[in-house]
Amino acid sequence: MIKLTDVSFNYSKTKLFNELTIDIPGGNIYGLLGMNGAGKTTLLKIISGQLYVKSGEADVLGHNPQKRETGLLEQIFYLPEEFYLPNIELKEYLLINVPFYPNFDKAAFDRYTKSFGLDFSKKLSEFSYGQKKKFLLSFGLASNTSLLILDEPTNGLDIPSKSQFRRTLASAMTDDRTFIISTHQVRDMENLIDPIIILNEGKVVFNNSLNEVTSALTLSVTPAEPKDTECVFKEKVPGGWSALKIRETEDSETNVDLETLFNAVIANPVSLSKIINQGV
Amino acid sequence: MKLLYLLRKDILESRRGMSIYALTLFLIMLLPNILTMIFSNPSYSDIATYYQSYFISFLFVGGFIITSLSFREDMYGKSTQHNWLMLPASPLEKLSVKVIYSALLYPILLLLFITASSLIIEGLNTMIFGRHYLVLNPVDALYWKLIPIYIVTQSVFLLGAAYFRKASFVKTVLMLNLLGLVIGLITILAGRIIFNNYFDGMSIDSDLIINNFEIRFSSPEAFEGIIAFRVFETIGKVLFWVFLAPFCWVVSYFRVREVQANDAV
Repeated sequence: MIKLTDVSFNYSKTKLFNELTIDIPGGNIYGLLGMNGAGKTTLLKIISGQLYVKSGEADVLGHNPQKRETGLLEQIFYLPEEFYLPNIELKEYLLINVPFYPNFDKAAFDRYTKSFGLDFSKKLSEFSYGQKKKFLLSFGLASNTSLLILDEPTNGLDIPSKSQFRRTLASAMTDDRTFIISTHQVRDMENLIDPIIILNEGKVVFNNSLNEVTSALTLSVTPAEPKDTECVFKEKVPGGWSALKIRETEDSETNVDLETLFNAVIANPVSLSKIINQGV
Repeated sequence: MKLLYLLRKDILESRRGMSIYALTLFLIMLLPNILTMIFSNPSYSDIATYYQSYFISFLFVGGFIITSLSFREDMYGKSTQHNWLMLPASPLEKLSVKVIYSALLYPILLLLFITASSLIIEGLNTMIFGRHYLVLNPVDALYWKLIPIYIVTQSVFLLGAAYFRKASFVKTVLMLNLLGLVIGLITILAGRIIFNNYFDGMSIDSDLIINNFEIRFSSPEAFEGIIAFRVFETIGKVLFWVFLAPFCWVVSYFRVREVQANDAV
């Protein structure tokens, strides 16, 4: 589906990616996590052909994204964190944009916009930021593209809309689609994104499913601070200590908190990936 | 079909700006017209060429400015570039629509608009003042000779729009001036060498700054009979009519293909 091999990229003198390699098979909702400046948006722009790699190879849906071929672009919908909508009516937006997406499903679009409570009679410029985002989300989901890229999709959404977003996204997911969601709001994405990809210092330091994580690790919250030898990662949380431990055969499976997992990976990327991949 | 979709998108998204442009043009034609009718009588030459002069000015100056803005609101716009890059159409299709819009659609719409405006304004003039200017005749051969010249020359501004991310009109004009200077110097040197037999001296007057630099040839009328001059004239025409516009379009295409997200301003 998406394969980047030994990709290097830099902004002027700042090297961002150095021989980055990642393989993203289709049919999942991927969560792309990373600290500020880790290169999440840049990676998404490379995948979508908006930025060109300096060296290495990129293959997206069998195309070289740098060529920006129509066949590839009509299979990608990318909702950026900051977006622009022209000052036209919603119906006009559909009129001028739908023809470019051959698999667009108008009935699904109506369903999504209705679930988000959008008013069709308004001009796009009269929508609030959150409403515009819901509109573009509905359009992107209804476009039925093989690849849907969402950069911070829950920023600007109110609390009911966030849960509606999760429900709508999950309902639109099919085996032949792939969603990549870049986010800092991991709590908004819990029970939605899986596998998780974590970028750190220009490298993919983590690319595993939550099943692989829960098979290898357990999460516990204890009032007392656990010893370093007892866990692979610990952090102070309200009410005690949250600790990730290697799961023994007798341990029951626990849900892994994405925030703790992210902090654990960033704190010690090599050993954590090793533990999880050994357990697979 | 894709081109038509792209064209419809461009027209719908730019209709507000173009409506303001059309309204401004209408007022520019209307106000001096009414003032002349109220306070004086238009001269005979004015009567014949009033709308013609507007058409020529807005075809070239207006057209060049509009062409220069071709990519400002999409390919190079900080907020709009994402939509441009991700729109499912090839760079060639995206460029082709800009060419169709600015090189073909604009002059034809301008001609129709000024014709329609002249009919309205002069209809009112006839009713109110009992006299009028000549309305624009859209099938006058002059306009259909000017439009091909516009198509070729505006391709240079399209290239400027594709290459310069900011202030492309000003930068293109400056580049053309620089290019004109260089070509002028080369031509003078070439002329001096090739037409050596006809060269009769060169002088620079003390008031050089007032354009008194001249090269004198003994018999300029003899140029007509010089084969080399004819050859250069033909080469110049071929370069202009056959190569200039395709060259600018091809180079623009390469630029459009190369544009990346970090080129937005």
